[in-house]
Amino acid sequence: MILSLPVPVAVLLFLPLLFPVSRALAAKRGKAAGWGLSPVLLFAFALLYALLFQGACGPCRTLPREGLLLSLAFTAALLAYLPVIPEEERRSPAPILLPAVLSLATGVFLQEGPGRIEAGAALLSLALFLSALLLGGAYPGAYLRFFSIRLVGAALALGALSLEATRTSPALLLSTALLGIVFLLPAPLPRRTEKVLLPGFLRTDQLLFVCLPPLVAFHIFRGVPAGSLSQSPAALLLGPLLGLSGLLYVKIALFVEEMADGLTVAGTGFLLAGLLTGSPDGREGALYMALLLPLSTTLSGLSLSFLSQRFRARTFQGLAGQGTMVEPLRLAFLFGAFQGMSLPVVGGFLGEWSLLRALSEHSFALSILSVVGIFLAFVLVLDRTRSLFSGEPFRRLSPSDQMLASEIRPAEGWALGLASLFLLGADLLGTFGFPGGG
Amino acid sequence: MQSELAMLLPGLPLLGGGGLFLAEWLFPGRSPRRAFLALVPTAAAFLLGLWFLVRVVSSGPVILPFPVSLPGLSAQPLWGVDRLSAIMVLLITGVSAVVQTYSLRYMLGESNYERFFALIGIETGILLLLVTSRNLLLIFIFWQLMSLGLSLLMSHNRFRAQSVAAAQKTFIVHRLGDAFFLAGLLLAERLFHTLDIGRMADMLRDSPDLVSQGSLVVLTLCLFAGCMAKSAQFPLHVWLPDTMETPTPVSALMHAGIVNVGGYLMNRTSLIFSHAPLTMHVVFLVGFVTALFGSSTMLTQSDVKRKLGFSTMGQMGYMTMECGLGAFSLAVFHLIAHGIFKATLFLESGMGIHIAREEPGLPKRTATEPRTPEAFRLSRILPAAFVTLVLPLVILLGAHQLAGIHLSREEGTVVFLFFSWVTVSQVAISLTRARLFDSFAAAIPWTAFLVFFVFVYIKAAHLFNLFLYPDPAARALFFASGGVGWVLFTPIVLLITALIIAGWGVALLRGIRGAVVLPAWVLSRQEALYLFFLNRGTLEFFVLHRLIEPLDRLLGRLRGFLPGRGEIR
Repeated sequence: MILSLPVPVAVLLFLPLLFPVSRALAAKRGKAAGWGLSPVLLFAFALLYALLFQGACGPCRTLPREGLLLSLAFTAALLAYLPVIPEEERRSPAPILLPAVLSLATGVFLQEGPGRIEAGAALLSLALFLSALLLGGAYPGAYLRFFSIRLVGAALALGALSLEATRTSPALLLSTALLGIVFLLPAPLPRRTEKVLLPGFLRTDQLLFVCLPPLVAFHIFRGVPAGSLSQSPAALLLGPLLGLSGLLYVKIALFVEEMADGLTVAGTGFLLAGLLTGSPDGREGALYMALLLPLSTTLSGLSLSFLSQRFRARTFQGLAGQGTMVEPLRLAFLFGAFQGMSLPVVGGFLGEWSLLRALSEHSFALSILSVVGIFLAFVLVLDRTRSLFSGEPFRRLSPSDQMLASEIRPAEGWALGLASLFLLGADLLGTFGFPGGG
Repeated sequence: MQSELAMLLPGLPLLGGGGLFLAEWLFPGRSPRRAFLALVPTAAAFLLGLWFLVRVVSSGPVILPFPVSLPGLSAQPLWGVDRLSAIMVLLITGVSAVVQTYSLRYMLGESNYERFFALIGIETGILLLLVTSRNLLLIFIFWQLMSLGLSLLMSHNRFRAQSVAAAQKTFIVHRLGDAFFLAGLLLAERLFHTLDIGRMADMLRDSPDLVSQGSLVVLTLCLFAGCMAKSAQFPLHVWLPDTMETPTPVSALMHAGIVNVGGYLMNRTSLIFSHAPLTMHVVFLVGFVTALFGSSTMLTQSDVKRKLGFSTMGQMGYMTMECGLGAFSLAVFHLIAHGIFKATLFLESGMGIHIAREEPGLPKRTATEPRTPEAFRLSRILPAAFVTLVLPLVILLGAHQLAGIHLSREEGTVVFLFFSWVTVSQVAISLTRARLFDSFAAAIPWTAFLVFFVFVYIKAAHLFNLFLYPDPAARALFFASGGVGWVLFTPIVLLITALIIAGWGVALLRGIRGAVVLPAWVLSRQEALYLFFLNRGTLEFFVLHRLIEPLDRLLGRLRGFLPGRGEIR
């Protein structure tokens, strides 16, 4: 698969793999987190260059723009996570695993042509399965056995998609693709046992199994011809259903991480609904959702993770009001959470508007269902935000502890700063469109 | 070049607010001087608004390309200043400047002093962008941003749980309205393939059968639902009383400026609303219920600010009724008048509460037993009763003859006259209580003053109608679609007149014979009715305890199917 890419691009894919080395060197010399990140940062700049100067750069000319955007979104999410992989979790395979998944995912996202795209998605599912095994090995008892089976199921379903026979039958194509996506999604099917609470594990889990699936979901449908997508109204209904089940998951969530799971499922449902309309507007809106979801999950997920770590609690009840005391986390979370509220400018409303417009052209009832979903998502996110980041804190701290808790460490600052910056970029992209049109 | 100056209208407060944010972030501190960074641009925007009003009247609307290019918003014109916008700009910047001036001292002891001014500046800028937009999608964007800004202002003190809860409630109700508004946008896009309000109105004018009546009614009802949430119309009013938890200047800004945007949107889309008579009647009914509920609930509340809050609700109900009757310009006139007097009342009440808190002698502890009522004297009541009953005739005749308003064509104006009459009656009652109406001799100058005042008001309202909607065809269309026809309207007017006269009669007899005028079954329901309004119609109780809580319990059971139940920490 990598061989099908231009040689410079294929070589570039190995750049993130240097991260463990650069990280070790930076730690040894006592340098800032940015030094350790340099291979992935360079990789991100290379992708950005390819995206902005596609016409002027020979090897980039054949690369798909959507694929570049998906790769860039995942790289951005990873860049925010990497500085906060705890050094003390020595068993964690994250420093090697995450850059490897990034390389593979980029290689997959940059593929073109029917069959190859779907095969790439299957390969990514397989990589996720291996990642779950590796993480399960490093943190025993972290995952349910059913989760591994689920990921294998996703790989098989997506692998079947790459077969010519599956692709020629629209009904089979849609059902297989949707089955694969449902298996990949972080919820409502259970994933973790909630026994392992180490922050390094939870962050790695979030990046791989919450941030990546929406990108894969969009990628799968990149290769499907638009005409065959708008055939089945039943399939079209699956998107809103998935969305509502995700929102239900958020509603019954006890742990803070579950909110991101539910919102990702809801957003992916919305994204699929737009994609399945088969219209250019729907595709544009779906792409925007696919880019926005991992980035907003990254920012709000990291804020909550830092908050959990400070106050040694993971439930909404245990963290009630605690965020009020840590202003930077509050601001970062609000910025991330606003995306889930579909507010204009901060939530790139116009991207979502094009998705709704596409749905409305296809089926007005479906667009109304999506509006209801948007409203429910707003209510849920606002309620959670209020409980965590305002009012009286659940537990009061002594002034010295309070001072410690309200301080942001440099690595956390890097992570939140990068996540906010990329999210702002995605917002601007949704609001003002792509530079140079499109 | 002069037209481009219009960009400064929202630009000045936005820049001021944004600059203050930046200043606070870069150089933390607390100084009333820095608050001028937001106040001065707002005041400058007011002056610029005055200049634009004159310009718009003399040379017509100023249409400008929107300064930012957005996908899906390419069709021009998106933005500009016309008569309606100019009037709203003056109201918003005027109220905002007054509120900011008042807050200079009032907020001095509060945390995040400068951020408060920065937020007000930005909120003012967003409101100005809203009232100068000419495209429904653009209006919707600013409509939502306004809710966000309001929510941030309301939760200014984020450590105070009540303020944050009130902000959340407000935001949720507003977003519920927004959801309908969004559905309306999607429908409008399907029906007209454009969201430009002017173009939509032109299409309806040129070919009224372009869109089926049913679709148009659904579209306008969706837009109206958006207005209902913002303008606190029943049953989406539940956020308004809770906003009293916010700082008084925010209450003033909200009650004098923000609640008016519902009325503004109905006016902006009046040429679309007027093609859907059924919606107009629904609008009237909702306004009527809101006015009745708001005014009645106001009478039962003991909290000063809450009383004012429900008074706002009642006034918004009147404003909506006027829209429903096709008297769109009167609604704008009403909201301007209401905005000015309500801002004054809120700021006064804030000062009063502040003094009561600070002054150890208040409330007066020397207060003795309530005074026994004075003996009833018919001669005391009669002048007021006579004047109140005669006034409507004078008002109606005067409006017809002196102000040149054709009552037979404008049902909305008749309702407005009714409103004037009821208001004047209230003033008459207050004057009677203050013993200024004790004799006919004393009543005459007061009556003359009131009549003069009412005529000035009616004449001004009439001129305002001609000013805002100079096109007679548009005015005729509004009144035609809002009217129910004189066959139905006349009995309604007579019935309401009879009710008001009967009310006076009961009050009079009650004064003479004690409290036994009404039949026993009415009296027995009085207390229940009082409690109903005291508890704000028990609507919130029903929603919370009968709908949300059982649903929460049901969903809570679903949690048992997920892992991690035993490891809660």
